[in-house]
Amino acid sequence: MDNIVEIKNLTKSYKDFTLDNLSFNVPRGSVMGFIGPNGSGKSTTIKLIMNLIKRNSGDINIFGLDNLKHNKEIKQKIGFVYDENYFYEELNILEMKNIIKPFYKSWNNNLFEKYIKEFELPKKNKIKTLSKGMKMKLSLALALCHNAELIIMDEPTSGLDPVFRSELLDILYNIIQDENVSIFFSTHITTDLEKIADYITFINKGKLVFSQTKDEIIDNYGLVRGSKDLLDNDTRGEFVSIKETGFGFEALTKDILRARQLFKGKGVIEKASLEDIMVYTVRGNV
Amino acid sequence: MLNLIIKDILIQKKTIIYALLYTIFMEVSFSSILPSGFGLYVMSPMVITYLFISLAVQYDDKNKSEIILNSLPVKKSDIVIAKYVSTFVFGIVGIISSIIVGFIGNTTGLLIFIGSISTLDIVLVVMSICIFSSIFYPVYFKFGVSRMKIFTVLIFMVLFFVPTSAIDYINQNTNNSLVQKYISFINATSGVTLNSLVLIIALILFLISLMVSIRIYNNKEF
Repeated sequence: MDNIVEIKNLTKSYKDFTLDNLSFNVPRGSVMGFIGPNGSGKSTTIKLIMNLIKRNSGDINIFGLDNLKHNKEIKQKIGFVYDENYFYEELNILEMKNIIKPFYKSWNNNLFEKYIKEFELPKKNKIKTLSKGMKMKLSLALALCHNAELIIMDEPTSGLDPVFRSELLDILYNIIQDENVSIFFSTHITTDLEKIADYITFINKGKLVFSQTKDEIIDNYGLVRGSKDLLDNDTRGEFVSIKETGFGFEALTKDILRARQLFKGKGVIEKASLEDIMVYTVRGNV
Repeated sequence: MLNLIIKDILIQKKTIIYALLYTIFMEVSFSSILPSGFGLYVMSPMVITYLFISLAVQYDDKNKSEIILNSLPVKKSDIVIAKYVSTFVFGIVGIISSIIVGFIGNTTGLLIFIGSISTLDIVLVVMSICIFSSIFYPVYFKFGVSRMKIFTVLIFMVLFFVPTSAIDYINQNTNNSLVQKYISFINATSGVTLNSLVLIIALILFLISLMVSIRIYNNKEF
């Protein structure tokens, strides 16, 4: 399988934050969920991919091309959706579209009209009068009309209500029926990804935790609950992190099969959700 | 690149109406003070160009729309070049609106008669907007809009006070050898040569500034 995005040893340093030697790939036709807590470097990574900031070292290849040398070429085939509205607020939807459209060689106006209708966007309304959800839909409509092969989204669901989020995910679900389109989707709302992601890349404090298929992660990680007398120095070593309470403990393991053998008949073992994995990994031992 | 220039006009269509109104205001208020038409044909295109340039960057800044522009398939250097070229587009808008107001004034007699635009007027407009952009854009690309405002005042003071105080100085120091040399140079050179010399200097400054701005913009982070 070929990769649409290849990131190798990517490093970017700020005074108080470093994106440290990050490497991962996004395979063609897949949905990659990019998760991590706030301030973990998700936006920095996306800005580096979009060439909005300069990397210190490492490589970013998109469609097999270096993203700095082939900036213009690559961006013809990228659709982007950001977490905030960066459009000219005084313009209406059509005027904004007319500004974006001429930059792309293959703009499909019928498709745009179709999305506007489907998303129930008021064409003649100024962008500043739109709700946050509508602005997000506009962003999406503008990102989908030039035959993009890679859709990059930075926290598209943040600040949206659950109804709207689920609607957005349905739209994305339709898009990925096209095997040629890949989606790179950052979020801290991990339940969004359980529905649509094929792969999950998890970063924390600028470092890669893992980049794997969602199924591998869901199959291997597990939550163990039990009374405290199950914990000794050996069993403690089995866990990513442990939460102890007055009544017992709850802990995350990377190897649910092994945990099932170790704690057979003694504790409760269940699959971990992405949220559990993120929370326990970020928190470390307590 | 043309898309970017068109964008700068589309985001501020209303400014064109303000430009015409401003031109009429300049005609009415300055024609008695500056009877040669300096107010209408030189100052108003200058100020209009400044208005368009500064409003365009304010709109870009307001919604951080440069993030969108830099995510589109466009070279960073083209974004900068478009800004510089738009100086002339806005200059032309300014000159045309002053010609329209002048023409209406001349034919209807409603506004005070002041004659038509001269080549010198156009040279002065082009020169001053070139100098303005040359100073404005590198500072804008480096520091952004918020720190730009105080600087704009400075540029205007330079554009208005340096020439007048230079003339004052020359008038008061006619015996100074440098001044004498300058006067004899002016007298010995024809108007056409002088105009082209001024234009060439302004354009060179403009190109150097453009290169500096491209450098700044290529290193900018969003």
